[in-house]
Amino acid sequence: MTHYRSRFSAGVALAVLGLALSPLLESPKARALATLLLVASAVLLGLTSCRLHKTRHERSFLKNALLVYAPYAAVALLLAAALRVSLILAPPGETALATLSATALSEKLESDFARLTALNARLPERLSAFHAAASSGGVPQREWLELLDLHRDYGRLVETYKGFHRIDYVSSPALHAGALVIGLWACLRQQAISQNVSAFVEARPECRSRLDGYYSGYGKGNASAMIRSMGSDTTQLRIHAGAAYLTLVAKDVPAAFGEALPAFRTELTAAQRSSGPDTLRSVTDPLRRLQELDLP
Amino acid sequence: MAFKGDVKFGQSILHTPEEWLKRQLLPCVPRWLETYHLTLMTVLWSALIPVFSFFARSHLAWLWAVSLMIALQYITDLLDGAIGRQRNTGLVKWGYYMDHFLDFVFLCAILIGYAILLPQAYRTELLFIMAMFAGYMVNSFLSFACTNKFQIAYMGIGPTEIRLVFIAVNTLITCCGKTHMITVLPYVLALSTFGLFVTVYRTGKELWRLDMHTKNNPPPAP
Repeated sequence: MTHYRSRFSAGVALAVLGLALSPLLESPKARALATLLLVASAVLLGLTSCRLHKTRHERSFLKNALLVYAPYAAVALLLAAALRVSLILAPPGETALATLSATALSEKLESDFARLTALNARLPERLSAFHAAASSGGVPQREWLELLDLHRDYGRLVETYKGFHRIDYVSSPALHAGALVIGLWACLRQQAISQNVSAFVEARPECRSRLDGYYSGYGKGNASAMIRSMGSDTTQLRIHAGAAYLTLVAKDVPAAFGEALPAFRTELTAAQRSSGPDTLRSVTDPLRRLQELDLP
Repeated sequence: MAFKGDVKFGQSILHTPEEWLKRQLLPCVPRWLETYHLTLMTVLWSALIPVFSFFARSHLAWLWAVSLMIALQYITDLLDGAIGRQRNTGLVKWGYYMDHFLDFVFLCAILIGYAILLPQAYRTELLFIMAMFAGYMVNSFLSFACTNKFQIAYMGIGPTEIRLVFIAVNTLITCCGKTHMITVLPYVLALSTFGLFVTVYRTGKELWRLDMHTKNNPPPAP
């Protein structure tokens, strides 16, 4: 008598499982499994809806289920979103920043800022070398690997300083603000490299497979990973939340960073403005790739 | 209205094996050991947990001692009410008050132990988790004041299952190290917040229904 209840529950569970696989859609096995789960879910939900018109009890089933479970679903979604945001902005896990003494941390900030400045100086020439070499046809392997190296170096700084919130703002405001600036600036520069690669792939789609190819020590799929990261919630939250937070702690940024700060803020504003198109490109890119995979 | 703090509503998933264990252990309790001795033993277990957690900072194997304290507290907590009923000690209200207050002390001791064990930077997360767990207790006591029904198990999860979770956490920390626990803390916080929402929402709905029932069916005038 209540078969439709169990069918409905199983259908919803399969739909949730199928949707949970969406981050892995690039893998053919995951795509096949997700499709299978969603088709099974659609069949079960379809069978349920066919039964839901005979008796008064059946007709009110969906409405009643919604009334009972909607508040739980709403709170669960809100909590899941809050958890995701907190994991990005205040990631758990041990960080060396929290264990260093103030003096050691100050020295580390100075050396890492010098490293960031050196990387920033190198970035325009690496990008122009890549584009110049690419304009002569083919994929410039050496220039591409140099660009990947630069991206990785920025990535190391982002990883180191993503735990900047563990540096106590009350006792060490300058160190806290300095760590924020280094991490955020490195993130912006990673985004700049990704934007360049995305624009290049858009203009020269035939080069994509070479850029995504396997390189010893670098792995494969680097270009696609960069494009995906442009619109990822991690990057976007870091940039926008970091920009908002910077306005609060800008007065505490160490004096040594002072000269570079206006340029950094201009760059940050530009990155915030371009975040819409970046997100759109990073979303349409994998969709296009999926279409290419499916079409003969 | 008769006091019903000694009668628990809502069964946890381990209720049946727990009752069996209680029946097996009751004859083993010596005559000189009274219900109030068993209840007050939680003070000892609670005091030892932070000590063993402090030792666990230098060697994680000390967490086995913390787990032993949890198991011993479970046994004394399981038997105190049963012994009182069997021997007709009569300490119903004292037992309700002291037993549940000491349950709260014991929960605090476990979380204080984790705060001692983990790096200082993670104490905020533990404070939030403590607030959520205490919320379940506050919910039970407030709801008992309104309904005279004392419920400590929700959705099949009661204090016994939570104790088992703590023992499992200690075992995992001993085997895999502290790093994983730090990673898991935000998820524990989110899940306990959701569980508390479900509990409070259901209790609120039930009390609303009772209020409306009372309003629509007023007692006959004397």
